[in-house]
Amino acid sequence: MKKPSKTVWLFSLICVLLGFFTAKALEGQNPEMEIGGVTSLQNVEKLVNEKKTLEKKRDELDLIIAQHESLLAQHESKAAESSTHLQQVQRKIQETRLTAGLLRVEGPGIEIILNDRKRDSFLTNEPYLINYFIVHDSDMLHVINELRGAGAEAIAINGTRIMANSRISCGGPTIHVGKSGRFAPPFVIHAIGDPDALTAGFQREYSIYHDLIAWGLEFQIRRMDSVVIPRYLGEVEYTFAKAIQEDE
Amino acid sequence: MWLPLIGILIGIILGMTLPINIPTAYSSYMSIAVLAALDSVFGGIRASLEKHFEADVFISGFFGNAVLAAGLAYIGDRLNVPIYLCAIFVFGYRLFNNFAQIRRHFLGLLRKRSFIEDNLDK
Repeated sequence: MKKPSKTVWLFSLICVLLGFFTAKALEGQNPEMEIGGVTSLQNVEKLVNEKKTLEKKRDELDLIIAQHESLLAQHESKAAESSTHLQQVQRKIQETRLTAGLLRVEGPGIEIILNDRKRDSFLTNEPYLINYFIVHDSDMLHVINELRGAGAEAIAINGTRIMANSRISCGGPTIHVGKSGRFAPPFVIHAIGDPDALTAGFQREYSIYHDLIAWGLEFQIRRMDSVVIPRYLGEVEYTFAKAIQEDE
Repeated sequence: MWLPLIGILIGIILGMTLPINIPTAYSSYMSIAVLAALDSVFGGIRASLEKHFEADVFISGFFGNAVLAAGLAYIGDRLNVPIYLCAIFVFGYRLFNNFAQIRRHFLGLLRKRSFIEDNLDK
């Protein structure tokens, strides 16, 4: 057998590199990591299906929570029947749950729709101004804070109840809300409170409303006779904070 | 002459097993580099068949082309001009060209052989 010549060895070496490159290039095409790239139709379909199954699973789990809680409520009311003292305790628990945002609530209020500026010629001509034309987490915080200032009793963003420790932070093109919520515009904010007071809050001179409107963002306020705000569904866990027992 | 094929296999296996990660953002540059490398290999095969193969030209072409192509694609991305199309066009064209030459070389060999065989029969 003829011994391979120097050229063949060279070719083999280069081919090792070629194979390595190819493997790396193919590996790089990981569909789950792709952000902003071209998404294939199959990929979209796959993700939509995944979303559907996850939503189904979530609904099932929510149902289980509801079952357990109704069981808990039964036990509570049964216990409350036996004595007036326990009745008071039960009322106290319900009040606390209301404050904590663990109850679904309904009442008069307003609905706010926040959205980025519509694509128009101004935006196309001055694309570097894009930062002024989108809803930021800070805008959202302002709006929520003004709602609270105007006496809102319960607030939800896109159906996610805002709790005392809910975060609202920047998530790139999205805004993180609460523990696991992540929303893209348009944002629908529901608030329960005196509709007149809530709307009047945004008519003050220094309200965020005027800023956002001035930049051409969409900011719609609608009074509603009945707003239903979902309860917070999720873990309520305090790992570090422990209640201090106060002796009287 | 199976050595280069074995080389490719080893390379793919190495690429899949070695824990070197290329950021997803750069994977498109990797693809362009693969195209450039493929072009170099085909060019090398053609050159060796035509008996004017030079190792230094081959090696420098392999790395130079890959780096240039990836670099151009990168600059194009920064400038928002799809320069990578240029690399794809040039390398694609040369790939086909080289392949055509290789094909002709082998077809020529076959023809020559059959010509000899035909004449031997007579």
